[in-house]
Amino acid sequence: MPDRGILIFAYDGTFEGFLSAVFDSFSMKTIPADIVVFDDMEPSLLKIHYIETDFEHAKRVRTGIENKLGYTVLNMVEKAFLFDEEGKETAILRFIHKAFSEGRSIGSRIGDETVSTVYKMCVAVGNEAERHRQFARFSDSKGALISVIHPKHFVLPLIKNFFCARMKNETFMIFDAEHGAALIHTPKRTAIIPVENLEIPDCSEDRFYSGLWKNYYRHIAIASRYNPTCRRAHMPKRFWEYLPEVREELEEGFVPKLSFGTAEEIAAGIRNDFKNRLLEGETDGN
Amino acid sequence: MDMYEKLEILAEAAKYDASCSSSGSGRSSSEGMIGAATPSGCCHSFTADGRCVSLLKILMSNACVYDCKYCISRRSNDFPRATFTPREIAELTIEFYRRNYIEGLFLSSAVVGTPDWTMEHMIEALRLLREEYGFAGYIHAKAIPGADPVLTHRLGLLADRVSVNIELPSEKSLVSLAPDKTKHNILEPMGLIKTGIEENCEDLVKYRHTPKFVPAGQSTQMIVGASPETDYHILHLTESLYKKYGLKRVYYSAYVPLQEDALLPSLDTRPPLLREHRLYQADWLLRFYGFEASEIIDPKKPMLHPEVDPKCSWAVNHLDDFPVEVNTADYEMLLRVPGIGVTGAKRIVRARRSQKLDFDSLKRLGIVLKRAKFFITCSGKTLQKLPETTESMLWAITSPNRMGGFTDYGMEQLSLFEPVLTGEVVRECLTGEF
Repeated sequence: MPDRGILIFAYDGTFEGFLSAVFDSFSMKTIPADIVVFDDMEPSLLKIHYIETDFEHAKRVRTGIENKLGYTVLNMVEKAFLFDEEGKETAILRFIHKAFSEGRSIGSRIGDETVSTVYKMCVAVGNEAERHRQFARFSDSKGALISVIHPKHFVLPLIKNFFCARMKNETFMIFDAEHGAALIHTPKRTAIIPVENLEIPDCSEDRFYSGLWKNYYRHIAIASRYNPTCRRAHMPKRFWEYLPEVREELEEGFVPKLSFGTAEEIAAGIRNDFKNRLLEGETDGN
Repeated sequence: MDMYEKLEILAEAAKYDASCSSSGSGRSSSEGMIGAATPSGCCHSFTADGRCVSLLKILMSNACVYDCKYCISRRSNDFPRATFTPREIAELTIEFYRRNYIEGLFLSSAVVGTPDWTMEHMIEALRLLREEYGFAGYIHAKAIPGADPVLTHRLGLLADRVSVNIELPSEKSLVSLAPDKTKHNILEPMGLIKTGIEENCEDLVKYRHTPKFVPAGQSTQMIVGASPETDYHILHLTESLYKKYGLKRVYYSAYVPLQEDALLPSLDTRPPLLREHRLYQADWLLRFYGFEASEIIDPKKPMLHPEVDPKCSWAVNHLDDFPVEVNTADYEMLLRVPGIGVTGAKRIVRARRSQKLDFDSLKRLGIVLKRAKFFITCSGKTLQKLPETTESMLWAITSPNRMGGFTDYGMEQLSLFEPVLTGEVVRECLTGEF
């Protein structure tokens, strides 16, 4: 007989831990009100079930999902787990319960509320990963390449192949400062490892090429097409900290300096931009 | 001349080339190589005018022997000149690539001496990059019209994409504005590349180690607004380029006046950005939405509608085909609904396999109903009463956006941006007429 009291699960925050929680949820025939990570737990009067991470259970859940529901669903679960916001575990758990009761076709039922919640999480994670493939920048430190990123979601597993494929024979590191992990690659090995405190190597000598790039960037804009709204839509400001070419534009009182763009030309550009925005209607929420 | 200055001059001269895609090719690197190309491409930055930067776009040289009237690098222009050595190009590409600034190289050049000489040096730069530096990333190269066919072929074996700019949409304009270029000159390499790609496709099936020839296909670009051609003319030309020459992309570039010339629009003309935008929308309809140029535009109204996009414009004139039932309509018809794009149509098709769709579930799929709601039904229901005539439909679609640009209403509020836009300026920008 399932327990009727309000119950929450606590687990260690790993994917295996979460799969163990899924296992317990099925064996206890209950969906908990919440699933939390040990470390973020606040004192609570609710009944807490502590999940012990059990690799055997995790493996069973994994193969169960893969065999019974197919790769698409497993992929969705894995991807959605990289989503970094409260409540993701319960959303995924509900999705898994629904999937087991309704079968394989669940992956395509994106009009359904439970499914669309998880689907949207996957899309958000995928978009964040794409942004990091675009905007992660490396600095050279004695031949090794270093990049520091601050992603909203845990995207390292998703961007791994992209960077490893193109820089197979380089040594590089991408440090995710938000989640305390790093992707480290050498020509021989690749690994994503947890990193607590990292002393970022000094890259101040790597000025020449970033300087060239900054200068190049300044010269490829066409003054009479100046359109900052469009740029911001494609390249949101939260990434500018990564980018040598626009980092200085974040400083207060920055005046855009376009090549052979007089103040007048730029003003004309701004008017153009304003006009475009009126024409396009809803860009930027107006 | 140091690297900074050189890069400045040669980037400045290359920036009017619109193409910057890095898609359509797949390659991975093996031992001792660097770089990879992914079929979807990747944009690494965006310029202050909002265009994507995916490739390091430079000219090899801007010391041109030609005298095209619209071009900044024309012979008769007093302008600083520079030339990169092949090794400089290779180094720069590799170092930018390692830092994830770029996806690859876009190499173009002014004609230095003869077309053959120019082409040989471009090939040398690419060969160095591919062979000595082991670069497996994306390369887009411009074929120089008038060069030997053998050279064009060699360029095609090194690059992912090759393009030849058609420059102006008609032969007449070409004769008057670019006297050193001819239609034959431009179409010849285009034809060569087309046959090359076709032969290569056959060879790739037959032999395992055939080197790939222009795997990402070819593209072209034309200037819009420098000469008097209409959108009707341009779209039909585009369509025939896609059909006859198998092009991957046709780019349009709104004419930015850089030179004073009696044959050209005056220097204070604004680039017809809205016109360019509409042309791109129409171009997308040709490539991804199954439209024919003759459906999008008719010779009686040879310019695209400034106020609504071409698909909307088609839809309001074909109200008999609407509303479309989302639960049963085929994919091709869903694509024709204003407000539903390729992603949306695919999601609808995927989702309706296992459930009936209503307006709430459409919202959950991420379909924007702002315009679509006038053209669809869900299980026979509409979201609101549908306008019945073309005029009322047009009004319904555009009314939330009605603003000063089209009437004089609201112009006072723009005084923040002195001088105030007059109705005339706005119309000029809308129609691209001068």
